[in-house]
Amino acid sequence: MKKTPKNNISGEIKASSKPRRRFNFIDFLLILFVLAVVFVAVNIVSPMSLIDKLRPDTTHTIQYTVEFTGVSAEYIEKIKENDTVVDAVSKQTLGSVTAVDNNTKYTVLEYNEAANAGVLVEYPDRYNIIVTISASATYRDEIGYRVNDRRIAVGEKMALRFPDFVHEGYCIGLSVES
Amino acid sequence: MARVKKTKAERKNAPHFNVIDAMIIILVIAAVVGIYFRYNIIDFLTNDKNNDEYVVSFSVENVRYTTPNYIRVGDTVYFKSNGEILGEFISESENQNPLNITIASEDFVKSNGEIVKIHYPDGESRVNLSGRLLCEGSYSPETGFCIDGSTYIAPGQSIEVYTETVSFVLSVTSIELYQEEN
Repeated sequence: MKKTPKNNISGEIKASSKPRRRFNFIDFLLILFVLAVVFVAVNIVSPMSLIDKLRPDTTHTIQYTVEFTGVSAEYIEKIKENDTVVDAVSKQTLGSVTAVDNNTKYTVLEYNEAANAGVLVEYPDRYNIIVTISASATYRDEIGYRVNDRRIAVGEKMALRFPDFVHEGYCIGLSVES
Repeated sequence: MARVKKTKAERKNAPHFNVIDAMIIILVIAAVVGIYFRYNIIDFLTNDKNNDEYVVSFSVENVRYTTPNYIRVGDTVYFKSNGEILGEFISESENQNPLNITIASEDFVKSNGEIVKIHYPDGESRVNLSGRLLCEGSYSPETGFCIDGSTYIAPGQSIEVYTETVSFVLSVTSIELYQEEN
């Protein structure tokens, strides 16, 4: 049987008579409004907000020193100037070596019973290595200096990887060059 | 006739307020209220922060002798756990020194079993520090002392903290209401 245009029209009317939930422009505006309100609310109350993150960091060249204590004598020549320094945890580059001091003997406090006093006793074949590292760092109030997201500050424990050596030490100095 | 039909269709298709819109608006209000309570629930429960200025005295044991060089009066101290402000260093003496520095010591057992405290022989190895922080907080007999009304601290507590240039662990030794010195 041949369908008439009338049948077609009535078919369309039937279909359109069902309630349809259509995404309209007001919904779109409301969703945008929701997102804007939530974004602003979160950023007002959150101390680590996105608005804070949008503040530009300042970039500086810093020099920091890391001390490795009690290093066996066989390793003290393993760190060389211009070696690239990598964070052993994050694997991010933390700068390059500008100076190495490996002449300081490792000492420990011992009790001298005869003198009833403490004496610093040098450990045989153990040294303290002080490595100076230069890096480009970002600075932000409340956080301080960071190199590749690693905070650099005196007292921070740092596990550092060099091409021929890896060790854990503490940051003992920090200066800003520019 | 055709013109009238088109107008009706247009009216049907025109943007209008529906149940979904109402639900979205309710969700917005719920989200904002939820966020407000998430960050202000303690204030809400305690009614008011009632912050006052307190002096928190602290000690830091056995740090390298160069560490105090990086601490100045006025430096802000933050909690390592959440980045919130603990307080700021105030001077220990008239010369604007933020810290008292003493030579660190270690305990040793003598051959007769007696325990003795032995100091490092010079000031160029390990040192102990003590100082004071000016903090904003509130005290009540029920909750104790809370920084900014929310973070509890008390004497005997060890706290990981940092300034912009130094990280260290301090031990709280006392908390007193701040009285401005003349």
